[in-house]
Parts: sequence; C-alpha cells; structure tokens
Amino acid sequence: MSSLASGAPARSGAAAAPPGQSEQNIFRGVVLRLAALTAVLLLLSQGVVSFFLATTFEESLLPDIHRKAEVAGELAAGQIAYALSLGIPLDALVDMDVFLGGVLERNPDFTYLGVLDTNDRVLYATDTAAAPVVGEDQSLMLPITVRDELAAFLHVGVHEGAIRSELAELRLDIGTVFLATLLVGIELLVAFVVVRVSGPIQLADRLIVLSAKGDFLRRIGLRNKDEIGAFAGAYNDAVHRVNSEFAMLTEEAEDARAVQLDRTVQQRIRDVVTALGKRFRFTLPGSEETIVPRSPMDVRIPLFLFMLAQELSRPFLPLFFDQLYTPLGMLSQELTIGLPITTFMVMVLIAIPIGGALTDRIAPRAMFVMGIIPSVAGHVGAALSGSMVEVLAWWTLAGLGYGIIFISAQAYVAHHTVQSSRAVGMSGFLGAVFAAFVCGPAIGGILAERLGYENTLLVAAGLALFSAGAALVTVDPETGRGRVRGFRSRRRTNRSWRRLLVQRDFVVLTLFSALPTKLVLGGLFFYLVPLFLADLGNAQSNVGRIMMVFGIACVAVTPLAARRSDRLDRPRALISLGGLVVGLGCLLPALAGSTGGLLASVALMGGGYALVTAPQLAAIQKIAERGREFGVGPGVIVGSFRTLERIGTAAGAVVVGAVVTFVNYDEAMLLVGAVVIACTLAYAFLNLQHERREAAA
Amino acid sequence: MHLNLPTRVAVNIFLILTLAISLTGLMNHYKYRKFLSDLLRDRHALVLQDIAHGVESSLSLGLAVDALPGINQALQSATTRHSGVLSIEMFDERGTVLYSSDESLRGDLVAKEWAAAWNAAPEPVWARVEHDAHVVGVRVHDSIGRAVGSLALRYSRTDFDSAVRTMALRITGICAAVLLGFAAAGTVLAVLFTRKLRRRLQSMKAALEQEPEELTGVPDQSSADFARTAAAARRAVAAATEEIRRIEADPHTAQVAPGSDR
Repeated sequence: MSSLASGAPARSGAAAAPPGQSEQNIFRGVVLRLAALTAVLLLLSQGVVSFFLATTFEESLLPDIHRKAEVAGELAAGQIAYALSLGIPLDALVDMDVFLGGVLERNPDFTYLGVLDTNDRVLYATDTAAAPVVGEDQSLMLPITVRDELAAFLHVGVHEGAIRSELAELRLDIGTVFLATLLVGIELLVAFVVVRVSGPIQLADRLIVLSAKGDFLRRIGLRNKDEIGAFAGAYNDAVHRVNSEFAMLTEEAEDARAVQLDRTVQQRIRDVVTALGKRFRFTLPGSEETIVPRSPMDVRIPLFLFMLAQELSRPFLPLFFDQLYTPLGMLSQELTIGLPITTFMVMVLIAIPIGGALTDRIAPRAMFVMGIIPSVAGHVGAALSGSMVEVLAWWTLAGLGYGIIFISAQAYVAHHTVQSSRAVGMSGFLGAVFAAFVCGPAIGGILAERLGYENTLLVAAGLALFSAGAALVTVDPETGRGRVRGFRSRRRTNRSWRRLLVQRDFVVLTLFSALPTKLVLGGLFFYLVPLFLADLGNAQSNVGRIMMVFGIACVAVTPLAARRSDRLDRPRALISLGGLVVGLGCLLPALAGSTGGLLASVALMGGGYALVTAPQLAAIQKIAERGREFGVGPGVIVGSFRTLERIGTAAGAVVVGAVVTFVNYDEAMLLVGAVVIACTLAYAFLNLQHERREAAA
Repeated sequence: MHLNLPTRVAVNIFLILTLAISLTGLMNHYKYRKFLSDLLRDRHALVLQDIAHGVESSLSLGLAVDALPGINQALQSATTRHSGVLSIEMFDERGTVLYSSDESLRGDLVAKEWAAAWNAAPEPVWARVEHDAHVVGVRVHDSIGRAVGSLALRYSRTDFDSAVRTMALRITGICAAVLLGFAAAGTVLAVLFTRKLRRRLQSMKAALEQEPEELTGVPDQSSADFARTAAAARRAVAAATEEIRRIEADPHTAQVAPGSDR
C-alpha cells in the first residue's frame, strides 16, 4: 500500500489536476456549516442545561433556605420574646429599627423583617416597601410567644433569587467550557472532514483524472462503509472490470499465439495487444497498486488530545509542586518547585534527537504509542507522589514521553508532505498544539478546582491514553516503517556547532531574542504566573482562564505576524517590536499588582511571543539559506536554533525560581522584563549597526 | 460498521456535546454541593451563635468560663429542638470539653483537628467534615475580646449525602436528556448540511457505474470522463478480441500446430 502525499504530484509522470474550485467550495462550505452547527448546538445545549439545573436546584434548595430563615427568625423572635417577658409592652420596644436592621445585615438571605401584633398590624419594620405578601413562598410568619401565649408575629421576607445569583457565578466557567469545547469540536470536525471526507475524495479525484487518461494501474485503498467508501468501491470495480477484460484478452491472445506456427500471424496477434497497451495502461486484475488516502492530518487528533492532556496541568503545576515541597539539599523552596518544570524540558531536549533518530527506524505510529507509556506513567506517578523527589522523578519521565510524541508526530507530518507542502502540513501540526494551548489550561483549572490537582493529573493520564487509542485508529502504521538513515557523526556535529557559534547573526538572534522570549515562556508563563495568580487570591479556575489568554493571544497574533513578516521581508523589526511588547507585559504587574494587571500582562506576553516567533523563524531561515557559505547545512542551523531555544525554556523555571528566592513575584517579573527589554534593544542596536555597515560596504 | 456520512458527523457532534454537557453538569454538581453545605453550615452556626451570645453575656458578668450556669441544659435543648444535630460541646483553649449536650463527655479532650481548625480559622465560625458528621464551631470571647474557647456542633451528614446523591442523579438525567435531544437535532441537521456533498458523491458513483450513454442529468465531469475512458478501453479490448479471433479464423493465414485442441 502506498499513499499520495498531500500536495505531492501524482505518480507515473501524469500531471495531477488540482481539485476544482467548486469542490473546494463544497468542502469549505461543509466545514463552515458543521462548525456553525456545532457552535449553535453547544450554546443552546449549555443554555438549556443551565436553565433546567437552576430550576431543579431552586426546587431542591428552597426548603433548606426557608429552614435557615426560620432558624434565624426564631432566634430574633426569641430575643423579642425575652424583652416582652420582662414586661415591656410590644408597642414600647426601643431601637427596634436598629435591632431589625442588624438581623437583616447578618442574614443576607433576608429581604425584610417586620413585627406585627396579633391583629396583623405592623408595629416595626425594616422597609415596608420590601414586605412580601403574606402567604407567598418568600414570606415567613413566625409566632412570638411569651409564657406559651401568642404575643406577636415576626414577618420575614426571604430572598428567593439567592440560588440563581449563586449559580450566576458559574457563568464564567460555563463560558470557558463553551469556548474550550467549541475549539475541541472544531478541531475534531476539521480533522474528520479532512481525513474522512475531503482527503479520500481528493485522492479519488486525482486517480480518476489519471484513469480518464487511460491509466488503470491503481485502486483506492479505502474500507469506509459510507458514501465515500461506496464511491471508492465503484471506482475500484470499474478499474477491476477493465483490467479483467484485458486479462482475458491477453490470455486468449497467448492461447492463439501458442497454437500458431506462422510467425507473422503470431506477430499480428502480438501487435493487436501491443497497440492496445499503447493506448491504455492495464495491469493484472487484483494487482493494482493500492493508494491509501493519507495526510498529515491523520496525526492531528491524537496529537491534539495528547497536548490537551499535557496542558490540563499547566495552571496548577507549580502550585502542586509547592504543595509537595520537601527540602532538597541547599536549594530554596522557590527554586525547588521550579525544578520539575526544568527537568521536564531537559528531558524533552534529550528525547527529541533520540526520538528523531528512532523514527527513522521505527514507524511514527509505534513511536507515538511508545511515548504514551512514560507520559501516562509520569502523570499517574506525579498524582500519587508524596514528596518532592518522587514528583521530580515522575515529571521528568513525563518529559520523555512528551519529547518522543512531539517528534514522532512531526516525523509523520514530514513523511506525508513534500518540500512544497511541508509548511502547510506543519501549520496543521502547530494548529493542534495551539488549540490545546488555549483549551488545556482553562479546562484544567476548572477540573483542578473541583477534583483537586491529583485527580486532574489522573484525568490527564486517561486523556493521554485515549490519544494513543486515537493514534492506533487514525495514524497509518506503515508510514516510515523500515527507513534507516545513518546517525550524523558526533565530530561533524561538534564542528558545525563551532562554526555556527561564531556567526554574528545567529548569535545575536539567539542570545538577544530567542533566549529571552523562551525565558519568559518557561520562567514566567509556566512557573511564575500560576503562583502569582494564586497568591493574588484567584481560584484555580480563574488561573486557568487567565492562562488561556496567552494561547488566545498567540492564536490571534501568529497569522498576522507571519503575513506581515513575509510582506515586510524584514523580520528584525517585528522581532524587536515583539520583544518590547513581551518586556512591557513583564513590567505591568509591578505597576498594577492586581489580577487585572496580570491578565493584561499575560495577554501582552502572549501577543509579543506570537509577534516574535514567526519572524524569528524567517530570520533563522535566512541564516540557514547561506549556511553553506560557512560550511553548515540549513537543517543543522535550524535544529541548533531549536535546541538553544529549548535550553532557554528549560532554564526559565530555575532561573526565575532563583530570582523569586530573593524578591517578590512582581519584582521578579520586573527584573525579567528589564532583561527582555535590554536584550531587545541590544538586538535592535546590533542589527542596525550591521545593516549600516552592510550598506556602507 | 456501516455508518454513513451524516451518522459519522452526528457521532462527532455527540462526542463534543457529551464533553461540554458533562463538564457543565460536573460544575453544577459541585456548585450544588457547596451551596447546600454552606447553607447547612450557616444554619447550624446560627444556633451556635445564639448560644454563644448567652455564654458571652454570662462571661461579661464576671463568671468563670468553667462555672457558667444552665449551659448544659441550653445545649441539650438546642440539640433536641433542631433535627439532625448530634451533639453540641463547648471546649476551652486547651481542647477540654467544659459543657456538652452529652454530659458524659465533660472533661474529655476534643479531637486535635477541632482545636487546630478553631485556632486556624480566620473568622469566628469554623467548620470541618468528618466521616460520619459535619462539624461547625463558633469562637467564644470573654468581656475583653479574648477567645476563651469554642462551641462546636456536630450534625448528621446523612441528609446532606442523600440530597447530594439524589441531585447527582437528577443532574445526570437532565444532562442525558438534553444531550440526547441536541444530538438528535444535530443528526437531523447533519443530514441536511451534508446533503450537497452526498449528492455529489452519488453523482460520481452513478457516473462510474453506468455506461456513458446511460448517464442522465448533469453527471460529475471527471467521473464521466473516467467512465467514458473505461468504456472506450473495454470497447478497445472487445475490438482487439474480435481482431484476434478474426486472425485465428482466417483460413489463409491460420496454420494450427498439431496436437492443439483448436
């Protein structure tokens, strides 16, 4: 079985016609309509569920609210009865408005309090305008008795909307769930349409175009039992029928030739068959090449689910480590709780090249499933950990899984794309990562607040396991199997590093732009922001929601930055701008040390990070293009840049952890912001100097 | 498993709705649990605050905290008056029970967790959850505002647990009903929304299955091209077969090898 890489030209030299515009429109229309349908269904279903639950809660809780009001009313009535038992006449009680006002203030469920005599005449009341009609649900009439004789009534008004106002607090959570599940839904639908609908149809179209030119060598390898499967079956039957008839002809021709003695007659028979073979391309029935519709999107759902599992713990990870803190040598508490984040990233750093080498020997799907084992073990182990050392070890193991899965998914995309379509394939890959980056922290925060950190980690482990199941269903097991490439020699790699590290452009970009922005990602976003938000008194769900803003800013700004970077052809300006935005974001909490300030800071950091990322890639590609001039391959340059970036992310948590040992959270952010701004200014200055020198030359 | 396109889309929509509605149901369940727990705690705290008010009045008269009159009776009366209350105790700052609705407990030490909760609580009211009961406590102050001990009330969690369980079932029912309703609506709409695509596939399939001259309506262009080429190929094969048979049958050219069955 083989597959036509998406975007790759069709085999056998025939030019593949691109799918028609109308067909593209049909697919786009289907995706858009299904996305809109999902959004509407989600919105309406959430609304209906919330309405019914609010009604049910009211029905269930009202007796308890009334019971509480009765108890509070009885206590107040008891005090009035005590005064009456001392012989004070009911209409001569003093400061009753102060007394009733105090009771009202201590009981937020009360809307009204009034004292009535036995003739139902109101003697004292808080606010007669707020008095409920006697006999209504929100009204209680409590008797005041003195020596077993009825002396008066206490009329209590109960706030019936208490439950609804309490449930209204869920609005933000429900809105977050809506947004996150909508993203998950669109992610699933897009992958479904591409993998199950448009991919097979586009492949069928390519094969039909080839066959329409007389090529009957291929069949569609699709076993779907749906309309597309039926269509593929019809195509395969048609090809099979033509090839069978040709096979019968060749058999008859062979028989006829075998019995002929005259060579000229034999030649005439052969000529008839050969002439047919020139017009059409046949093969033996059943031996047609099976083309499987495969695309880089196959890996998108498993990768998205895995990344979602990984991001669930994002808003509480440092808080969870803090909870498990036990002293570790001479390290401060702040530095120690940043350590698992760093060892995780270090393990990713180690796993990626090893995994990369292994995906040349083991199929990406097998690698993906193998990577789930350490990841799930890491999550479960961390959830069950009782000390810092344990959680450090388990979380480092989870990093191994992350690295393996990341590189196996990337390898799968690379296998199914050609050079010209690799960027499109990779954007699908990054799309899954970004979608998880947005949804994960928000859902994780909500779950952590209700289920606790440990159970949320177990949910993440379950989701990671589910992603392995998804990979077994959607990812082609044959892709990349048996491809063996030699390891690059260590000596050659070392030489490349030495050559690279004296390249001024490379060093300036890495040192003054890539490393500071990754320091912000690893040190502030992964480590400090959750701690800071919790320190400001935010609930876990709120921490998740605020962290989600980083992902949203990235998703919103990245395409704009990428387009602008391509158009301007001068990525350096955008890199400088992005660096300054990130730096400004870091400074904000020191100026406004509130949740709002930190929210704005996260948005700026996310936006700035997105502004920087695409132009950084463009800049490194430019350096890579002239890599041969100083004897380093483009792949090595990009790979080395990526490695240094990951070192920056890994170092972030411990560096910032060390800083917060000595200063407050806002001061630490201020310091990091100052470093980022200083580095950005240095980057801008050095580039300007370089450009002037080049212009002068 | 035979699933057509709308069914596959509906399955996707069902999964997404399940995720969203489950999360909403879960959040509401926890909200209900917290609301009811707070409500019960506040109600029982009111009972304690009333008793604490009496105790503090006595203390302000200069009576010693361990020699207050009528407290045991007040505790017993409150215990019997309010259903669900298991016991009420008053303990001093060392955790020794000074008064109790169950007089046999006087002089005993309260659980360490109670003393810790009382000391750690930032507000006068503190609470704890035990395996068989909820505990709510109220700090008692003397006339100069010094905390001299605490009142603690244990109330049964049977009612609470049963209410939460019942509500969990109702939430599940409501969520399941809404899920099924919307999934059904989603299925119907998925059928409508994929109609154009299915029509195109049917037209492509029809073009492949029928002879070019049998094609009716506006067939799919590329499929029709393919069908024409396939038909042309089959005609060419048939013509070639005829040609070979003609050559074989020609008496002037055919020289059949001996031993052959022709």
